[in-house]
Amino acid sequence: MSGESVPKQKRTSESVSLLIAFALMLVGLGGVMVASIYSDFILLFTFVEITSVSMFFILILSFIPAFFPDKVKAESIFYCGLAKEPYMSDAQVYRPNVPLLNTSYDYDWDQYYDKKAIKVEQ
Amino acid sequence: MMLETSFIPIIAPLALVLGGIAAPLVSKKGKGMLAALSVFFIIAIVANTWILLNLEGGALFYPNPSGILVNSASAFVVELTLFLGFLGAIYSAQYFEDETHLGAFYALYSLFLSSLIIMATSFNMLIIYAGFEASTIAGGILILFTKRQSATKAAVRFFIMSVLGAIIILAGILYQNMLTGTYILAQSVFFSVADSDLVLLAAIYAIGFSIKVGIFPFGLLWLPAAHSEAPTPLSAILSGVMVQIAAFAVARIIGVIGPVSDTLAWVILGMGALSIIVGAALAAIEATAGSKWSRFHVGQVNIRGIKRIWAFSTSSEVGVFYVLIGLAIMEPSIWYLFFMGILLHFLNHGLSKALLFFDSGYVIESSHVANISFLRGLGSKIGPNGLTYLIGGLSLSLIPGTLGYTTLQEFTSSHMLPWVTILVFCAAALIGFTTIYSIWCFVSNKPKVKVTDIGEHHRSLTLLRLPGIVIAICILALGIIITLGANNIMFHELYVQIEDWFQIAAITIVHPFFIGGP
Repeated sequence: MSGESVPKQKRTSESVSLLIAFALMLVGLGGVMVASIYSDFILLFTFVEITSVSMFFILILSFIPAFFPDKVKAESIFYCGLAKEPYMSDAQVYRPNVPLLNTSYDYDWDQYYDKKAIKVEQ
Repeated sequence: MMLETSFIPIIAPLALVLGGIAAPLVSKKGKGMLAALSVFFIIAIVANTWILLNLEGGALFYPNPSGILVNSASAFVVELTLFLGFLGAIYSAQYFEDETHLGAFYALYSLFLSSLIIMATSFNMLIIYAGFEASTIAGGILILFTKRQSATKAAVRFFIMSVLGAIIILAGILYQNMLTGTYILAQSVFFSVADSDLVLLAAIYAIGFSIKVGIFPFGLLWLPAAHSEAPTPLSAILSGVMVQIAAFAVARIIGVIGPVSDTLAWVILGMGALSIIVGAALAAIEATAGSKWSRFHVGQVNIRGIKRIWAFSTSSEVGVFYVLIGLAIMEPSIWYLFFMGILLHFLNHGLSKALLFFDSGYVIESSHVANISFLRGLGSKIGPNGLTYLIGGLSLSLIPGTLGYTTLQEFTSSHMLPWVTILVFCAAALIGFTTIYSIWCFVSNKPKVKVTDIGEHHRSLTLLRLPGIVIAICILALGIIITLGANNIMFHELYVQIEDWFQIAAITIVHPFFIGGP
C-alpha cells in the first residue's frame, strides 16, 4: 500500500446536510444554556426551536434510515451459504411506513393514476 | 358595542377542537363521524355568524384584549374558514375510501382549522405565533394522509419551510419585545420607536410570514408540492384558507407597525408582483407542458398534474395580497382602500380556489387519474361540476358577474399603479386560458397512450360534487349582486351597504375596533 494514496471519499449531500444540522444543533444547545442563565424567555424559545429543527433533520436523515432502512437486501440475511436461495425477495422485505400514521405506503397511485382501476400502456 | 369581554369568541376554536376529539369517539363509520363533527361545526358557525351580524364595528375579547379578540375583519375571516372547513369535512367523508384513518384525519383537520382561526383572531404576536406553529404541525401530518411516498416528501418540505418561517418570526417577536417591551400589536406601543427600527421589524415579519404565504421565491419550494400531494379536502383548505390567513396576519402586523419606507414597500410589492406573474405562467405551463417544464415536483415521474395547476395558481394569487400591502405602505393616507381589496380578494380567492380543488378532486376520483396526459375525457359524466369548475376559474380570471369583479374593481381604480394593473390582467388572462384548456381536457381529452379499465370500481361520489355546487352558487350570487350594484343597474343599495361594511372591516384589520375613520 506504500506510496498509494487513498482516494478521497466524496461527501454526499446527506452527509453535508447532517454536518450542518449537527453544527446548528450544537449552536442551539449552547444558546439554550446561555438564554437559561440570563432567563430570557424568547431567546430561550428561539434556541429551543433551532435545536428541535436540527434534531428533526438529524432524525429524518440519519437515525430513521439507519434503524428502519427502506430496503433490506435479502442476500445479506441469508448469507454464508446457509440457504440456497433467499426465502423471500427484496421486494417482500421492503418495509415502507408512512411516518406517524404507521401504515404502509399506497403504491397504487405512484404513477398518478389508480393502478387498481386502470391500466396504462405506453 | 365597542370592546366587550365575552365567552363567544372562543366558541368557534373550542367547538372545532372538541368536535375533532368527539367525532371518532362517537362512531367508527364515516357518516357517523361526519354527523358528530357537523354538530360542532354548526355550533361554531352559529356563534361566529352571531358575532358577524352584531359587532357593528365593535369587538369581543376573551379573557382580555391581548387574548382572543374578534372584530369585523377577524369574524369575516373566521366565517369563511368555517364555511370552507365544513364543506371540506363533508367532502372528506366520501373522499377516503378506507375509513381506518378518517377519525385521526378529522381530529387533526379540526385542530388545523382551529389553529388558523386563532391566528386570525388576535393582536398578540405570541398567540399568532402559537397558531402558526400548531397549524404547521397539524397541516404537515395531514398531508401524509394520501399515504404516498411523494406526499411524505411534500410534508417534510412543508414542515421544514414552515419552521424556518417560524424561526424568522420568532426573531421578529424578540426584536419587537426589545423595542417595545411587549408582544401586543397596537399602534400606541410603536409611537416611540425609531422609523428605521420599525422598517426592520416589519421586514422581518414580512419575510417570516412570506414563507407560509407561499410568496415567490420561497413558496415554490414547498407550495406546489404540498398543495398537490395533500388529500383534496386539505388542498382546498391550504390554498383557500391557510395561505390567506398568513397574508391577513402580514397585513395586520404591517398595518399596525406602519413602517415608512419606500424601499420596503417596493420589496414587498416586487415579491408580490413576481409571485403573480410567475405563478400564473407556471400554472399555464403545468396544464399544457407538465412538470418537466414547470418543475418543483416531488413525484417519481413527470406529469401534467390536475391539482398542481391550481397549486401554482395559488402562489400567483397570494402575490395580490403582497402587492396590496406594498401599495398600502407606499400610500399611507389611503391604506384602508388597499386593505379593503385584501378582504375582497380573500373572499374571491378563498371560495374560487377551494371550489377548483374540490372539483379537481372529483375529476381525479371519478377518472382514477391525477395526470392530464392519461386522462380520458369524462364527457357528460362531469355533470354540473364542469360548470362549477368554469365559474371558479372565471372568478379567478376577474370576469364580471363573478366575485372576481371585486378584484377587477380594485385593480382598475384610480389609486392603482398602471403597470400593476397590466400585470394582474396578464395573470388573469393566463388563468383564464388555463381554466378553459383544463376543462376542455377534463371533458374531451384523448390520451396518447392506451388506457384501459381493469374491473369495476364504482363508488358513490355525490358528496364530492356538493361543495363545488354550493360554492359556485355563492360566487355567482355575490358576483351578480356586486356587478349589477356597482354599475347602478340593480341592488345598488345592497351594494353600498356591502361596500361600507367592507370599509369598516378593512379598518379593523389594523384597529381592534372601528374608531369612526381610518
